[in-house]
Amino acid sequence: MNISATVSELHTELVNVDRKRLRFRVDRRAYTDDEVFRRERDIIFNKCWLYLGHASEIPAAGDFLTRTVGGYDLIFSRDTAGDIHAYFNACSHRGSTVCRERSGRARVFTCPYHGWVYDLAGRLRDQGAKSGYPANFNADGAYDLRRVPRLEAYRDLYFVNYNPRAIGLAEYLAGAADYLDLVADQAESGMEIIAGGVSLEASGNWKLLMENSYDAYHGPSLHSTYFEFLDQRVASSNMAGTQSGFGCGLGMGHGVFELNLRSGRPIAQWIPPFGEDAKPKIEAIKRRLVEKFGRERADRMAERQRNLIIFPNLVVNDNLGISVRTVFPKSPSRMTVDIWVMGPKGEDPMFRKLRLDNYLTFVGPTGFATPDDIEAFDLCQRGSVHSPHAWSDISKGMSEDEDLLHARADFMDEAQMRGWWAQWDRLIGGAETLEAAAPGDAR
Amino acid sequence: MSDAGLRASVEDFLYREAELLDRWRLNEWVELFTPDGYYLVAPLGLDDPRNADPQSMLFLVADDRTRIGQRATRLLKKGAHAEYPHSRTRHTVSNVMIEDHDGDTVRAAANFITWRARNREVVSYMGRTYYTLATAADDFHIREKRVCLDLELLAPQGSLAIIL
Repeated sequence: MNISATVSELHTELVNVDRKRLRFRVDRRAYTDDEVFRRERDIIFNKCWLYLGHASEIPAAGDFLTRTVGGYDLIFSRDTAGDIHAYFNACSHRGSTVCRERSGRARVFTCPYHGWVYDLAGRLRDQGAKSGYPANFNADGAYDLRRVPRLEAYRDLYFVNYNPRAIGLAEYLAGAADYLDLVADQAESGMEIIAGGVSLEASGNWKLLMENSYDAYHGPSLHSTYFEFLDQRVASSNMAGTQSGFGCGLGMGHGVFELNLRSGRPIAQWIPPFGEDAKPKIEAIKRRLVEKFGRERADRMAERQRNLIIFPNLVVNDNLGISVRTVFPKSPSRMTVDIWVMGPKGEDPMFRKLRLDNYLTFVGPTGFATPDDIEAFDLCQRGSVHSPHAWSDISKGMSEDEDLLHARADFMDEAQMRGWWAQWDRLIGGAETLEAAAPGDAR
Repeated sequence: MSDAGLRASVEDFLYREAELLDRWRLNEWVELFTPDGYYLVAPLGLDDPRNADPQSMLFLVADDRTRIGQRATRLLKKGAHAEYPHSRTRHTVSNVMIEDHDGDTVRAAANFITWRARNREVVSYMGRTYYTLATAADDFHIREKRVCLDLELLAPQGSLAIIL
């Protein structure tokens, strides 16, 4: 398939904008085509910053975890000096997987095949052989575990990039950084990933989940049973009829919607179902937020909810609790999803329970809503395969002169998705490389 | 009652529970729980899921009696899209062991395989379930049902919309 530049404003033939008729459309082959899948691997997942993990998951020296990010098996570790590393989980000798555990604490990793031993900083310590190698065999470090080309962190969130020439993480995050601050600032003691994350594999192209993650429009129809449940639970908190908010692109393909839903938040919005005991504690948290960040920002942190996407594949839902998800394509029609829940370190057990309850009833694969999203991905994928020459429409709330990467509209609209697709189009079409200009390059 | 007799009674109860679930008689299934009953599905991949605490860890399911009822109510609606049309399930229970019992409480464990067929696909969920049963008048009610799946991740299942 030809996915080279054909349209003046856009850079692939798979994304189509018609400003006069206020139509923004995506060719369904973008969800089904093998060539697109390969291009995404080569370009999207090899050039973008990808979320690896949170510092709290490896809190102590010797802690490690293994994770597949963008198709590569990685080890995320903290060495004896406390420094954090990410390297490929493949032995420098013959390529065997070195670490087979999902997480743990260790002094060294020993490859099961010939017994090569690496420390937690990835340095080769021993080849398990008394003879056959010169004494200076690894003097240049060539046989250490191969480091991921780039590893950078923002507010304890660690990201990798497989392109050594990539722009820095801070520049990449663009307008999304402020939304990560709104999450990280909720805890004076820092945030932590709560034990019990879940991984799943589902039917459907990975981009369906990205669209879904900040799509408020589907809520009333697909999740009617969830909202009926919620209405029953928080009937007294006057949820209905008061919602307002916006959705927007944040640059670089990132996007968010934000609204004022009174569904209750451990930080820091009390509703009657939380119980009278919780009320003074939540009010105290709110007071501290006001002292620290001012009334306006504290209100925004406590009273408003956000679904944020960091391009290409990180979801941070700052709503009833805080959940973090990544999604990767396994094939054009299968995705893998990792889900974690985050909360303040040392959180009051009462609030920790509320937070987990909030999560459990909605966004988990066993909740009252997510299984229906997973059903919708399957339905969309089937339709896309059966009608490959059709377009998917992402026009809701479009304005004639909007800047696609920063489009802004009502939270029930689709502006944030247009920002995502505009960046996808720029990358796949070759108009954006996400590389820092080399000295002397004209940019 | 002899241990064998007690085990037979518990098995009868578990078979009845499985039948209610397979026939989608979910409101009757809810009635099997005591008012303070819990339905729990522990996180995947733990060494000791049996002793994990749902108040401090993220469980797959941690329903009190109220939410057990809400789960059943939701699943029976047409708007529960993941289960509309309903899947066909087969809850199979085996290796039942009575772990201990006193006056009004029995602790039992059972292996299970639950098959789910829907949308031309068949997936299975397997593991061991730990029951705390309240005994009264020759019958049992569930005080806690803790499901410990032998899965590392929900692949290829994708989700767990049905009740195990």
